[in-house]
Parts: sequence; C-alpha cells; structure tokens
Amino acid sequence: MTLGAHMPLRCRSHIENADVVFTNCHPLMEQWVSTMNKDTRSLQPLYAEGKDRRDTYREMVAAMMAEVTSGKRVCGVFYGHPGVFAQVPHTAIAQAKQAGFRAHMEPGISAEDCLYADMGIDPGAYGSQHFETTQFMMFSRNIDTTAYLFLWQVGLAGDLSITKKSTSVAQRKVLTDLLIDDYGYPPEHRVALYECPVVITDKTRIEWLPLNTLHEAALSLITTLVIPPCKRLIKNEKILNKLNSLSSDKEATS
Amino acid sequence: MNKTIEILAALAEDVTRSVDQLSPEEMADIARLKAETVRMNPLMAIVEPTDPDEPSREPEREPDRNPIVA
Repeated sequence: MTLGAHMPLRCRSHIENADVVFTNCHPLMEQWVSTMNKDTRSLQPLYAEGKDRRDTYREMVAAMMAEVTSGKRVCGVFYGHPGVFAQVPHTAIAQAKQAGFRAHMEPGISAEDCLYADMGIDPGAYGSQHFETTQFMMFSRNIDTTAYLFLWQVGLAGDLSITKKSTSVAQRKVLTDLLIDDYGYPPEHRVALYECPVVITDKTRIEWLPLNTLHEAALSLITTLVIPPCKRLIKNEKILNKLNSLSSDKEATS
Repeated sequence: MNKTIEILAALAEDVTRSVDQLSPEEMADIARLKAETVRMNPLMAIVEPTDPDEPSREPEREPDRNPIVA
C-alpha cells in the first residue's frame, strides 16, 4: 500500500523474474515496480470516465492472457491484496488455469491490514463486517451493530452505473440515511474515514466525524468508512448455560 | 524521476531513516513528482448483484505455490 514498505519478498521475486509485468497500482508504485522489471506495463489507461468498468476488467484480463498464451511468464501487480475487492486477478488466474497454464496468487498487504495497524483496531475484538459500499446499499443485510462495520469504496456510494469515479452528495446521503434509519446507528455516532498513504512522506488519513455528516465529507476512491459498534454485546445466556452444564458434567465424571 | 522513487522506497524500507533526514532538495523533488503524477484508478471490485444460488466456483486445482522459474 505504501511504496517501498509493503511488498512481500516473494512478490518482488515474482516481479523480477517475470517476462512481462502488468500493474494496476498508483502511478508512483508503478514507477517503482518498473525499476524491478524493464517490461512493466500499466493497466491504468484502460480505465475511462463513462466507460463500464466491466469492459475495463475484461480488457485487463485479455491483455494479460494474450501474453500468457504467447508463452511468457506473466506477473500481475495490483494495489493492496490482489484478491481482496479485486475481480481481475481472480478472473485472470481462473482463465489461465482453464487454458491449461499454471497460475496462482500471492497474498499482499491490503488496505484492511494497514487500517488495523494504523487505527489500532483488532477485528477480532468485537467482530467485523466488510462490504463494498454500493453492494451494501443495493441489498438488504442483517448488520450486527455490536461489531465493526467497514465500507469500502465509499467514495462511489450509490453508483449503479459502474462507470463513475465519484458520486454525488445526494447519492451519499442515501447511504447516511440507510445507516441511521434502517440499521439503527445513532445520527451522532462517530465514524472514521481512513486512507493509507501511498508514499512514506504522506500522512495517514484518519478523520473522525458524526455519521449524519458523512455525505458532506471529502471522499476519494481510496477512502474506507469505519463504523465502530454502537451497541454492547449481549451474552447468549442459553448457550452459556449449555456450555457451563457440559463443563459441570465433565468435572463430575472426572 | 527514478532517483526520487528510489529515495521514497529506501525511506520506506529502512526504519532507521526518517523523513526529517531528507534534504530540502529531496523534499522538493518528492513534491514535484507527486504533483506530476496522475490520479490512480484503484477500482477493481464489481457491484453487480451476486446470486446466492450461483456462488463463485471453487478453485479447480490446488494453488501452485512453488512454480519453477524458467
């Protein structure tokens, strides 16, 4: 996520030993990757405002598969973890395998990993739920407000066209209202906007604000919304009693 | 430009180094590089409905974790 800091050694070795490297990262990271392999090609120009991202993804996969089928050793380098909130790497690997080639994914350091470290959040403390924001808005969910809720790509909240690079305040207000009216978060509940720095000289963005002002906040394509629990965990007395009785039985028979 | 990228990478890789140790010229080079850089398109996820009756298929084979470099 941060140039120079977050690349596993094994990933670097794959890059250095590939015949061709395709990148879909921040342009500065792509420049850094190009210092490791002379044949580094950015997939970023395939995006365009107004272009259906599904077409962009198909073109990305096709570009990589063209080199794979020509017999080259191909490495794809993607922002964060290549398998997290990323369709293209999964599709490319599946297509390569289907065509009879060897392909696999190396895990990377995702924005989620950086978020836990930077914000001091342990996702196991209360449990956590992760959703792509627009998908979260499109479907009815059973949200647990005693656990953390992380909404990814919140800057695109409500984009049903899959063509935009940002959405309007009105579209984001739908998200704010959904969280408050449908899921019961208090309007003044403190939520955070998180952005991992791309270069080490930049600062991490951790901006706390009341939930009811979320739609007015400055959101970028890499902003993640962090919603802490708003309710206390409730003990499941029925299960606890059952487990306690098992413990008592075991002690009695031992 | 590559020199500035290398400075940023070295700064991130070496925990004994600090941003404070950069010269004003190096800081200016970094600022210039960032200003010249176009915005990233980080979007990779789809927002299409996923039908629970059609879950994504399981991997066909075990991951090839140790491919041999030709």
